[in-house]
Amino acid sequence: MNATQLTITVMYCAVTAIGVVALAAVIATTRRSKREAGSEPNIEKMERGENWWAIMTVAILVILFAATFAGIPWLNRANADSTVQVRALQFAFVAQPASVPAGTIDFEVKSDDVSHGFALYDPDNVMVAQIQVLPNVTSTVTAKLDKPGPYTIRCLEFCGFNHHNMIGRIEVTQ
Amino acid sequence: MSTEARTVSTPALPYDDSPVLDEATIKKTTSIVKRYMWTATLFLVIAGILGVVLRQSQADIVRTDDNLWYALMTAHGLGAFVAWAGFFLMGSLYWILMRLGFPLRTYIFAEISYWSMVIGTLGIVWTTVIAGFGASWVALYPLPFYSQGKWSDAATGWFSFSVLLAGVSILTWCVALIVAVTGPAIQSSKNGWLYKVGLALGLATLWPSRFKHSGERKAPYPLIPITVIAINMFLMTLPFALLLVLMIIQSIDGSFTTDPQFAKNLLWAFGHPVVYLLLFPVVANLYYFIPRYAKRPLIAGRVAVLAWFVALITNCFLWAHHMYLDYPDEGAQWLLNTIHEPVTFAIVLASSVSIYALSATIFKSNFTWNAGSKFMIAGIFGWLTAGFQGVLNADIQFNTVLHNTQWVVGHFHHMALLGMGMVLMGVFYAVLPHLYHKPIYSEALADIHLWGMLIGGYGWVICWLIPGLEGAPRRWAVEPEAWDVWTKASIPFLALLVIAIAVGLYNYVRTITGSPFTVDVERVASV
Ligand code: HEM
Ligand SMILES: [Cu+2]
Repeated sequence: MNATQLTITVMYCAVTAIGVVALAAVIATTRRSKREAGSEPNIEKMERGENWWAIMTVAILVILFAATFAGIPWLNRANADSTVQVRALQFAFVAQPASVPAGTIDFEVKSDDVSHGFALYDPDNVMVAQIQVLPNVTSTVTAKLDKPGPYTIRCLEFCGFNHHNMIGRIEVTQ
Repeated sequence: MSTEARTVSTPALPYDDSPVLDEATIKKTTSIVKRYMWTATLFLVIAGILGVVLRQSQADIVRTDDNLWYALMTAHGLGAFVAWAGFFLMGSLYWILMRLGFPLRTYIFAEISYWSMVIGTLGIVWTTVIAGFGASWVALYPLPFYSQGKWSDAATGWFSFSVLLAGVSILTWCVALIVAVTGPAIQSSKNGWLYKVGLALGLATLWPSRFKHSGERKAPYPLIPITVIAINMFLMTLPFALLLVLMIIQSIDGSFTTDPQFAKNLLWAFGHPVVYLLLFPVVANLYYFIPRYAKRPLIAGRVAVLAWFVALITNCFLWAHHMYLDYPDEGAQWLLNTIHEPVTFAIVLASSVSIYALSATIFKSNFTWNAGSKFMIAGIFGWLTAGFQGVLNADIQFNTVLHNTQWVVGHFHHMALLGMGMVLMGVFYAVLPHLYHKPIYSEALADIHLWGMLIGGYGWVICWLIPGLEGAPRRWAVEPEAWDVWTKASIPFLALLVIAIAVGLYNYVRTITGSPFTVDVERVASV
């Protein structure tokens, strides 16, 4: 996994665990033993709690938005050391040049026909970058490639009956 | 004879102020609701079988031909999502509205909606399975016209026409709902149509100086998501209908073309709101049923109304979150994508506040546990756990690694089947006794149905979520070897899931073929 994938996995597991436990705790209060032992629920308090809940929701979303703003690819483009031109077509990728020295690379991808997806996987099969490739325009994605070796390009937008065979290669040298 | 009238006119609970309805209305509405629900259930069987064929082929049990796989995928996606879940929930709202005292005021829209969905669905099955159209449910332009000889332009035209019929079904359903919610029961202090819509959105709570009811009764809470989705789907189906018409024209006159980027925007302007064609009716059902199981009114206030108003507006301006990774050097798509991220976050408020409101309503209540309520609670868990995934998908940085991976496939099956689908199945258990005056055939079978779906279902979606997090691509008839193990691992879970659903279907069918209640329906059915 890359760093972003790992962040997502950890965040998802943590938040889900909290959510499931909290909801299960609420459900458990409906058991008769719990109901009879405890006090009556305070409806007015729960109604006021709704406002705080909404404020908390907004706060969490604002924090998430701010924390990941720098990860928006088109607002934070690194300066590239070299450029690779990629032609995407039903059902192949053609990279020019097919071999680049390690570093920060701009991939300028164009489609001959339909929409494709350009996704780059490193020699250990970890995704390093992806972008959508609409026809008639140029889509540029910047990736930092420091592992030398063979990289795999997979098509990540459904493009026809042979979509799963639309695989390309590019070599990263020292 | 009088049971029918009593079901509605005797308030089930002290605060249940459903107005008395005449027998004719109840009879007619009930028969339409039955028709929607059973037809949708039939479509689940078809779409479910297609899903199983797809997954077992990926697991290399019996491989299908490549284009056939994608054609079946196209039929499966539309069939399961729209023709089963969407269609069922569309029908369920007629019932909820009737129970709230807002019955359909004319049946013509409901009938047009029913038949156009049925014919549209049959057309989709025909054009995909027989004519080979396999461009996926999104039919991403211009792929439908670049089939590499696998299907004809005519197939594209007829497919587009069939989907357009499903769109007509949604549009007429929206009209039926708007007419119903602005009926006399809204007790409006003014005559304007838009004013009544405002009241149905709960604005008397939010803005009491401007919006006033003529009587004591405020708009019941379930009415709010119903009104929101009716307005949203009416507006957001139109861009997609336009795209379908453009494709039909091109299928007749090949020289006529459309800009792919524009087409993709039109598609997603509908493609996201249609998810709420499932979620908002599900919430309306929960707002209706959960308080009745908990025996206290829904705990919700101004914030809930505000959150729904925010949802009404934002739902029309968030589609570009499906296009985050479309930021070509030319043009300003990137700007739209940037704006649609915070707008998407804003719609989370409606779900968040709803889950709070439902939890607070359940908290320490004398809750009725039966087949219907158990499925609904299970569905709330699914909604919560799949909802977090939605927030992560909506984040641009996270989307760059999640987009079009199997994570997305895991996410929407989790949300559609284990979240909304669970609630839907609970709704079926809850309404069948009312529709047929017969008790649920077996609570024990319902438990098997429930636990089989939970264990099978979660195992099955996890086998998509994990490889997806590792970047495994979506919509690959033959998946990369590196992730094969997950595909194979999903099969036993899938088998359990399928058996559980089959048990559920058997339980539903046996319920309506069984003998009627001998006691008061309301007490036995508990809602
Ligand atoms: C019997 C259970 C089901 C099975 C075995 C199943 C299986 C599948 C498979 C294998 C795919 C293709 C995944 C890929 O991209 O690699 C798929 C796609 C899809 N499924 Fe299901 N599914 C099931 C139930 C459902 C339900 C209940 C819904 C919705 C209510 C649903 C909605 C969809 C949609 C919308 C797609 C995407 C189609 C497209 O990309 O054009 N599925 N399903
Ligand atoms: Cu492709």
